[in-house]
Amino acid sequence: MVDGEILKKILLQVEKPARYLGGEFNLPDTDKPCDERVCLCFADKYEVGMSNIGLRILYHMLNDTDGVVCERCFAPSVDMAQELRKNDIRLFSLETRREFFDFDIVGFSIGFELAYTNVLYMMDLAGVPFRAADRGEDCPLIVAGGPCMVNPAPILDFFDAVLVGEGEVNLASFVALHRECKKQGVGKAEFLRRAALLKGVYVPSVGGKVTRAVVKDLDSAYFPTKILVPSCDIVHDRSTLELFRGCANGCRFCQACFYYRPIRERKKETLLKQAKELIINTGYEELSLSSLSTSDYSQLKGLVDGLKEEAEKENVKLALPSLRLDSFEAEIYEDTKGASLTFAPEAGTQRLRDVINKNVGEKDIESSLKAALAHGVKNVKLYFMIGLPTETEEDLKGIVDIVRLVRRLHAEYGKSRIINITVSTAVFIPKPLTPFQWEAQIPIEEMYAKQDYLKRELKMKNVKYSWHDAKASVIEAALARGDRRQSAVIERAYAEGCVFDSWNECFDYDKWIEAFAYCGINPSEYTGAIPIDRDLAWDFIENGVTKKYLLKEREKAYAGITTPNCIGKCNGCGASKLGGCFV
Amino acid sequence: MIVFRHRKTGEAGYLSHIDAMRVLQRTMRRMRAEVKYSEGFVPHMLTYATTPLPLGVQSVAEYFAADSPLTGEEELLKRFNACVPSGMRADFCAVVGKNPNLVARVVASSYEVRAKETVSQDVLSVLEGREYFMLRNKKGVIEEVEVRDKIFGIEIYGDRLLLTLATGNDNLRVDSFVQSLSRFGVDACASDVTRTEQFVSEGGKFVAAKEILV
Repeated sequence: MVDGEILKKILLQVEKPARYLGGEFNLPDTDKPCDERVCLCFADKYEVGMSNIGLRILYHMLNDTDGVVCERCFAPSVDMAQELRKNDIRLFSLETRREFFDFDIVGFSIGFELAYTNVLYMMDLAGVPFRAADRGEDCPLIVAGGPCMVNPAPILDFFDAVLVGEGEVNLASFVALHRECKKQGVGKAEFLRRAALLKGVYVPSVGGKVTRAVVKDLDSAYFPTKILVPSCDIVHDRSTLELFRGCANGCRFCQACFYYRPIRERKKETLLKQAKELIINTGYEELSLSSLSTSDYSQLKGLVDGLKEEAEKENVKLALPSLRLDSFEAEIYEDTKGASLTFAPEAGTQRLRDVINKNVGEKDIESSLKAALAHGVKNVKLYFMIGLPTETEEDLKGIVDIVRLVRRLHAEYGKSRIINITVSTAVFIPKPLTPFQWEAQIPIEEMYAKQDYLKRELKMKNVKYSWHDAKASVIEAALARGDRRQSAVIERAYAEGCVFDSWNECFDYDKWIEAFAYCGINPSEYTGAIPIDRDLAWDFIENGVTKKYLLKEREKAYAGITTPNCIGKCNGCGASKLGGCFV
Repeated sequence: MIVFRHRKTGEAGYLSHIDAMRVLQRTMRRMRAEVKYSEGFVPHMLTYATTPLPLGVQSVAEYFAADSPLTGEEELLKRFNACVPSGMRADFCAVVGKNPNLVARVVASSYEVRAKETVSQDVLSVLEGREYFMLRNKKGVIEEVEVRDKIFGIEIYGDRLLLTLATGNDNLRVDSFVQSLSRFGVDACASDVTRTEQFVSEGGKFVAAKEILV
């Protein structure tokens, strides 16, 4: 355990020391008798990791298991890392300030490709070798989970096992099996051989195929309501209800939509009960709803009415996430007294929206905006993507036209005096497990040209344009469809000093390009088009949604044919065979 | 109006004032203290604290008031302690008619400093002089300031140093003062300091804030 006296001095030297101390309200009993200690790590700063609902669920789930203690560890900021190194202190857990070596299992939650170097950063600070093959029996099992497991190939060499799918299933069974094996005195290699047979667990040293683990009955699945309440400010500092998993819309660029299928809802009654408990147990002044498309929740009106009543009684603000344009309900919006409206048409023209299967028509946009503006909306945020397959100049012009439409509608119907419009564009990144997984990303020069066009055209009064960094998008794309050769690139990038790549101020494109070059790999091998008959690095994962379905969707995209929302009628994507799809 | 005297020790000692306030306001919500809200465009909870502590300094005597109609000190203390992180538990609660406005009334605080070694008696010479200069960091600018009038008491007990320093509008930062004592060989940092009480001035005498609430 870390020397408290040295730590006291260090903490006075670093920014936001509360990040490294724990001590939050609702802290579980980590001194209880236990035979298994797990450390859940998040490869980003405390304020980002503590906002992650998945980590929150798994942390409390493990701590609510008899005989298991789960602690947390986040990536320390660079100033803290310097102090740790200077004072020869290894990275430690928040709860009991133990090193990685004092745990049975260390699990990383990885939600973003640009967090890969942070995993190495944390391993480095913890004093464990990066590659699983170099770690002996004295090292804890180091495993990974989270959304990046849709294609874990670039990071497989770093982990003893990767947990594909939902942690309520695979992490729980992995920990249970390890406890059993520990009692029997089974060594690491044999344990991993046995773990490879568990659903949703892939062991690189064993190989084979893996099927993504999913919770079949979400309504009765574990969901904590006595959650940690951080003492310092975090990104999403509020209670969150998880309405459902999966998404019925099938936007063809969206990985989350396909990855989180099958679609499973929590009942309205369950959610209202959870909301009540969260409000009482946390003292949070805000409650938000989480899902991929809240408007599609089957009992949204009833839920919002119930929550509104509870929220008013308890002086809690109800925060609704962005709603899909086609099912925007002004009534709900008005009730929540919001002053801003977030729309994500994603593409500027109907043609391109049909290509990407964003099932929103011109009329839907217009009528939704009219309703919102007539209810006094003052701020409109619009999200688009540039570089989508088949995109033309006309589509970019369409983005500008939508902004003009908002201005015109505000002049005609707006209740507020002024309207502030924020336009954000992200660069299309072809992601695994989407119908666009074979597509090319546009070259970086083209990204700049398109961003420059929009910068020019959107120079209008009360319109703010922001864009996603093109360089970061290139590296993200290269890593998203990466293969096992990339582990060397990630190691090299880290050695070159790449860390916190998802933070704009820390991201260093040149170092990444140097790292690729050092390993003799051209990133364009990964950002270019992939022939549809080529084996993909993530083919060893049975994700539910089939390749055949994705190819069919791809063909429809090029033909400009949309696929309807699958609520009510199954489109046969294949996810339901994992169990639980309610459509 | 309810007033608590709570500690800010261990992990909580490293919380900024604004973070600590948020923790206490959420504590009020968890204990269902029915605290009133302001009636402005963005209503906020009507709570009041005393002068912020420098980051790292511990305390066993922070005061926090909330505009709540609840009564019953013993029960309120129990509820508060069940709803607050362990580093901020309270040892005293008072129900008063109106806001005691401690932030304006507190004029001094006592501190205990745990030095690494026995403190030299030379430190007492600070009280004998008419002036005492120390360095102050004001928004990144280091300047020398004279603070003798803000030093009310110094006592030495082996490696313990008891200080009484000005607090409030004419505040003397305890961490800076302790740092200045390194000229006498005192080896201590902010986290070696604990605020032990806050005082208001009554008839020219220092009275513990707690006393005026009873």
